[in-house]
Amino acid sequence: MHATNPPRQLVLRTPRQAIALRLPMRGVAVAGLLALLLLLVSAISLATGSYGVELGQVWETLRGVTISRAVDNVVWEFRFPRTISAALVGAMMALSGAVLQNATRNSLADPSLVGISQGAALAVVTLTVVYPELGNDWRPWIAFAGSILVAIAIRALSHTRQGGSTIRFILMGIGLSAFIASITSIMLTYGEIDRAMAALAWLAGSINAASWGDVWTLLGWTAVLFPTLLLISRAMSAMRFGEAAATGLGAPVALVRNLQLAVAVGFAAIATSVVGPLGFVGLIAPHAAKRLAPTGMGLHLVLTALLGAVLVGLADLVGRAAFAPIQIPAGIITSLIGVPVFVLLLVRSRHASSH
Amino acid sequence: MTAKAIPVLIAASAAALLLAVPALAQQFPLTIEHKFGTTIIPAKPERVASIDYGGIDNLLAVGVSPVTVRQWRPMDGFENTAGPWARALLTTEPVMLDGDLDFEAIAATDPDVIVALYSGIDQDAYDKLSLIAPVVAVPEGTGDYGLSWEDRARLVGRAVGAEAEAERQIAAIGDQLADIAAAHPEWAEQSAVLGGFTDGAPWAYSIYDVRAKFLYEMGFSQTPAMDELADSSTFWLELSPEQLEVIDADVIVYYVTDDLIEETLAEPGRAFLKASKTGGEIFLGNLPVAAMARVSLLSIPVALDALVPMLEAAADADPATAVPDARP
Repeated sequence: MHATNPPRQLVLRTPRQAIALRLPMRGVAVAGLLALLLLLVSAISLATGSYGVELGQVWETLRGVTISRAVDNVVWEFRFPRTISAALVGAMMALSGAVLQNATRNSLADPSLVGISQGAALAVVTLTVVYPELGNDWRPWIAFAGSILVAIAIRALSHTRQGGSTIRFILMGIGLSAFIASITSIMLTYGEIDRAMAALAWLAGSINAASWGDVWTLLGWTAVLFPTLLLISRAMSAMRFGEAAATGLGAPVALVRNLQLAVAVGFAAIATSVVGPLGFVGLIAPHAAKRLAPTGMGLHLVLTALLGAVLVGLADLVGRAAFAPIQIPAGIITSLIGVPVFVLLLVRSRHASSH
Repeated sequence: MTAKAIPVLIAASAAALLLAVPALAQQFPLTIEHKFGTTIIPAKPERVASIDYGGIDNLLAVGVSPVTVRQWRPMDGFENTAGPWARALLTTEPVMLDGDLDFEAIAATDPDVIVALYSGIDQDAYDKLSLIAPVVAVPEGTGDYGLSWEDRARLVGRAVGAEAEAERQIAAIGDQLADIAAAHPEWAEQSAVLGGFTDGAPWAYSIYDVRAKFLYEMGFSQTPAMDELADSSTFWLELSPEQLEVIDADVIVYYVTDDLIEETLAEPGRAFLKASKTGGEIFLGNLPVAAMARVSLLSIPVALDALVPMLEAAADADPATAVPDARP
C-alpha cells in the first residue's frame, strides 16, 4: 500500500484563529486511548494493594468520606501519591528522551545513554554518601546541577570549529557516562557502608516511598517544562532537518537548541532525583509513540508523555501488587515490561514497512 | 540492683524491690528519642511489627512474637527467618516483607509499634510508617546499621516493655564470654582471624566487626599485620593475595557456609598459612554462620556453644586432634 492519500486530519480553530491546529485523526485517537489507559491503570493502582480496601470504600475515601484512619492512610498517603508520582516520572523520562532524540537527531539518545541520568545519580549519591546531614530537601536541585554540568560538559567537548556535531555529542555522552558511573561506583565501594546502602536503595529506581512532597516537586517542574516544550515544538520540528535548514525555515536555532537541552536535562534530573534512575523509558517511549501514530512534534510529545506515564505506572503497579508483600522496584519492572514491548513494536513495524 | 548490695534487707522485700525496678523503668506511655524525632508508645504493645533485617530473634528472646518480619539471608533456608533457636518461640504467622517496604501490608497487620532499628529507613519511609504506628528508629548519630548488638537488643526490649529481660540476657551473654575466656587462659597467647578467601584474595573481619569481636573477647588477639590495618571505620579488610600475613594467625576461622567449603579447601593461598599445618583451621558451615550473622540474644549463645569446641581443637597446635567443624 502506498501512502498516497494524506491521513485524515482534525482541524481545531479558536474563533479568531489565534490558535489553529491540524492534527492527524489517528494521533488524536491514540492519544485518547492512551489517556483512557492511563486513567485505567491509575484506577486499578488506587484500588489494588496489600491492605484489603473494597472498591466502594476506595471511592468513598476519594470523595472525602473517612471510613477509618487506616483506610484514609492507605488510599491518600500510600497509594495516591505513589500512583501520581509513577505517572509523572514516566512522562518526564519519556519526554526527556524524546527531546534528546530530537536535539541530537539520533534515535539512540536517551538520558541514561548520554550521561544525564548518571550526572544526576552521581550528584545524589555524593549527597547521600558524603553530605548525609544535608537531607533530602536538596535532592532535586543537586540532581539538576549534576545533570546540567554533565550536559554542558558534553556540549563543550563535542563542539568543533565547524559547530556542534550530534554524533560527537552522543559519543562524548557515552564516554562521560562511563566515567561518571565509575566515580559513582567508587563512592559506593569506599563510602561508609550505611550511607552507601541508602544510596544503593535509591539507585534501584523505586517509587515506593513517594510522598505528596514528591508529587508537588514533580508537578511544579512539569508545569514549567511541558508548556515550554509545546511552545518550541514547532521550531523543534524544523530542527529535525538540521540546523542549516532550520535557520532557513526561520527557526530561532540558537535559542531552541539551548532550550531543548535545558528541558531534557530538567525532566531527567527531577525525575531521577525523586525516584532514582529509571532506564529505558526515555528510549522506548518516543519510538513507540512514533510507531503507534506518526504525528507532528507537538502531538508526538503528548503521545510520548502518555506512553511513558502508562509504562511506569503499570510497572509500579505490577512491581508492588503482583508478588505482594514482596515489592519489586519499578526501575526493574520498567525494563522487564518495556523492552519486550519495544522489540515487538520494532519487529511489527519492520514487517509493515517491508511490504 | 542497689537492693542486692544492702545486706540488712530481708529477702522478701529485696525480691519485691527487684520486681518493682523493671516496672518502674518501663512505665507507659514510653518516650523514645531517635534520629527522626520522638516516638511515644502509649501502652505496652501487643502487636509488634519488625522491619529489621534479622529482627525476629531479639523480639522472640523477650517474649514477643512479631506480626511482620523482614526477609533476610534467604540462603539459610529458615522459615520466617527464624533459626532453629527461635522456631519454638514463634507463636504467630508473621507477614514476610521482602524488597521495598510494603507499607500497606504492614498497616494490614494493625501493629501497636514498628521496630526499625536495623532497616535502613529514611525520612520518607519513617513518615509513612509513622502513619501506621509509633516507629522505633536508631538514635541520633548512629548509622542505619550501626547499633551494637547490645544496644539493638536493649532498644527492642525497651520498645516492647521488656527492657529488664533484655538487659538480663545481655549480661548473661557477657558472663558466658567471660567464662569461656577464664576457662581458656592459653587463648590469650594466641592470635585468631575470622575471614577467608574470595577468588584467591584473602579477607578478614577486624576487631570492629561484631562477629569477629567475640573471638577477641574470648581472649584471642588479632595478627600484628591486622592491628596495623584495622581502624574503627573498617570492620572488613579486603586484602590482596600478597597480604597473606594479615590472616596468618594461630587459628583461622573460615566464615564459610557448607557450599563454599570445597572452594576454600582448594585455595592455593591456604597452604602458606601456618594454621593449615598445625590443625588450626575451622570451617564454620551453615548453622554457625547463620547464628553468628544474626548476633541476637538467641543466636549468640548458640554460636558460642558451637565455636568453643572447634576453637579448643584448633588452638591446641596439634594437627592430630580433629576439629568438630563442617568439613565433609
